[in-house]
Amino acid sequence: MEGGTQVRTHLCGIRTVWTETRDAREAVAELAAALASHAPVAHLLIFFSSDYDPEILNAALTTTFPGTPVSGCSMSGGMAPSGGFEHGLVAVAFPAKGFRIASIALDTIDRLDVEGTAAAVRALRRRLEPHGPETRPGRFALCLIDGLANAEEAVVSAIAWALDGIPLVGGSAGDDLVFRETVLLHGGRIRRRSAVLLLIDSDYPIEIFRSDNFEPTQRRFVVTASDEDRRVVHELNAEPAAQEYAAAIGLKPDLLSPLSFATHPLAVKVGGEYFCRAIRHMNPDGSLTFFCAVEEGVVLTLARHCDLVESTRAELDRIDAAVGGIDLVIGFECVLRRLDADSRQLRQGVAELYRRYSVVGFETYGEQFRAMHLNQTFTGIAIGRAPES
Amino acid sequence: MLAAAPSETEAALARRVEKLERINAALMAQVERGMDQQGGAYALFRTAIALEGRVRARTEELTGVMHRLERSNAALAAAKEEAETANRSKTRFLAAASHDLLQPVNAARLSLSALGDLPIGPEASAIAGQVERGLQTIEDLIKTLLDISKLDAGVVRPSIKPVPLRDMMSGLVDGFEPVARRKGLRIALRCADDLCVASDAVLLHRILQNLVSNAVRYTGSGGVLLAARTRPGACRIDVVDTGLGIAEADRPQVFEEFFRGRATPDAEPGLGLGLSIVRRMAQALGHDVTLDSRPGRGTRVSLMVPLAERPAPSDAPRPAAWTRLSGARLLVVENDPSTADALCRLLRNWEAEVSVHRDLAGAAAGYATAGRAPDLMILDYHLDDGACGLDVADYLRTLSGTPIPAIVTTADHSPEIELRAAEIGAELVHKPVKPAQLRSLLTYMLA
Repeated sequence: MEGGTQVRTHLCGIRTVWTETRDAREAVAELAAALASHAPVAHLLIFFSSDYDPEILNAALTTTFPGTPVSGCSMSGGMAPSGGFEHGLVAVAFPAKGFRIASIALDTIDRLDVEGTAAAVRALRRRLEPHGPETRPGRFALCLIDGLANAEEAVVSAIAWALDGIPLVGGSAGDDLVFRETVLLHGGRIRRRSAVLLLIDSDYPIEIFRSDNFEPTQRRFVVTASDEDRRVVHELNAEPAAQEYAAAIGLKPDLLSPLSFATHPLAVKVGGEYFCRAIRHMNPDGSLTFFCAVEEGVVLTLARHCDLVESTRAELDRIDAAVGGIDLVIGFECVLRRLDADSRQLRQGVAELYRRYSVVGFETYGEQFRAMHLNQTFTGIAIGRAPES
Repeated sequence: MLAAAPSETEAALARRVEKLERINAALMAQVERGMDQQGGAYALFRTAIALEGRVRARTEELTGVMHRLERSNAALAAAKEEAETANRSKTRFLAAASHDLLQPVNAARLSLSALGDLPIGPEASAIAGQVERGLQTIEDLIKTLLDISKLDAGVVRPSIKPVPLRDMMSGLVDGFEPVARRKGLRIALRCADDLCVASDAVLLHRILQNLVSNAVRYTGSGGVLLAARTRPGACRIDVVDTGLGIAEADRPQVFEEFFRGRATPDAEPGLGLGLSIVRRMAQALGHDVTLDSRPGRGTRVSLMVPLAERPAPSDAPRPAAWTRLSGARLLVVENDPSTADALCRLLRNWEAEVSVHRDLAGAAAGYATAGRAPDLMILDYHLDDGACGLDVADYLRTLSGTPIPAIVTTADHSPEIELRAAEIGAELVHKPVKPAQLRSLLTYMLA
């Protein structure tokens, strides 16, 4: 990506803007400039680098876009039609024409009140469907969840329960693999330990998807000691977790890095299908912290990668046919997939796909698909070109 | 070295066993948690995957259901056919049961009229009147619903024959004359003597009866005209009233069930089924019904009926069933209108032709109009102004020169009356009249 600020207007009227500008105020000013000459924005969705000061960014957004609803979260890297980039911001500006959007913030998700959350989501639905529940083909939900609150499973379960079949996708906010602080923006405020949910009625065909690229090996681990709430696995096969995992992939424990976790993912088999359970980091005591909940007795299978570009292309081609031509994709991709792609020099192939299908989004600490909290996937929603007839 | 090796192996084995035990314990705990309803975040994830699978399964199931639905269209059509057959047989059953349904209603009405003869207070009389009206409504409703279901099920198949119009229409005018007179309405007939149409006499009679009944009900002042006019190849029968009329907006609905117009204040409320019946019967006969109305001025309902050759007199012999109740001409003299009405309905239910009069003068006039003696007389003993039903029997027998059979009804159980009835050869029936008893008596006397 050649720096500067780029804007693209999609056929459905959504405009996407991305910039690598390092200063938060400047980035917002460029965003405003890019959006200025167009129709007013009904909702602004923003994914931004964690090295922006969230206070400055939020202040700049509220003063620059007074009266425009803004939702957003910090990220571990951006995705745009020009390719992936590490620092900056990505904005998705929804027009009023063709899109009706209602949104809420869900706070204190680390002490989630499931009933209360479901009730809040139902109230959100009533804002779009005042005459009672109805099914519309173009309706979907987007969620952004704090990636360090260890709460995605509960949050997404509660939300999906209340959505009752409305397609949901989302991503966990990131902070560039620092694991210190992830933030969300909603209602002109900075939020921590929170989630933001957007319910969107579009006049365009939509299709949600999830794509991964690994296959299981014969190597298996049983989780023999863990702290499920903190997502910490102390032991695998009754050995210190990091040591056992490192031995399996042929590394010394002190050499384990995010790239090792990206290259050698662990997966669980549920309902006949394998799902990645990604390792977030190694702790000094030799335990491993995950991007998701893992309980004692779970069997983790060591997996190896298949062709990332090919599997992604196959899924996007399928979705392209399903929506009658993709106009754009709002995507959530695991940050470990980017590390893996980088290490294999696959960035070019990925960038080509992003360009071809106009992918915008961010690199996450986890992806949500319906009621599931996933790891190491590329998950998202495709919006088709032709209006729903 | 040799000695050390076994102990090393032993230590390694012990460690291995310990590890396996712990793995085993963790797995067992996991399996047990799997059975548990409560669960942590990982359990939620597992549930979510199960849900996802269920969503997919549901989609496939729905697709399957859709295909099955398509395939079952033929089966549905067959089931519909079966249901229609069942409906028809149900209707046949209802029709067969109609007499049984109506019998207790008639019995109750006769009992009520007997109650009216007893010295009861005005309040009780008022209540009796309300019960009477309720019973009448029930009776009308049963008959009408039966007719509708019969028509709908195609049980009623019109038998088209030449029908002399004048007889039918004058009968109707006579029938409604008392009601019209009570409301201060004129009711008139305009029909050529020899006019004859191709229709079903029973259905056509019901159609016109409903139309005239409606006309009288919705007319407050002025009158009702029943007129038959010839048109090329057809006859147009008009029922014209000077009533409230039907608003333009209401016209499409008046032929629907349970639509009721705004009746005149003194009118008995209708059931809202009359015109619906008319439409169905006219459809069954292939007669066009048209409606023309000016709100506040009046309404004209017209029925287009094909003309027919008048049958030669020999073509229309009296049915052989002279001796049966069906078609028997009965003359009733009864001074109490509600009793007269109830008795009349009962007899007509049995398909007798009934003329009702309230006194000797009326009976004499009826006899003169009919031009011949009735097959049987049913006479109330106590008539108005101290007159006696036996005098009517005497008068008509003398006039006709035939010993017309007579039944005398009374609520008075005194032996004197029994004796006087026996003297003139009349059968005595005590009020309240029991329909079954009356029917068998009639059948016996007419045999």
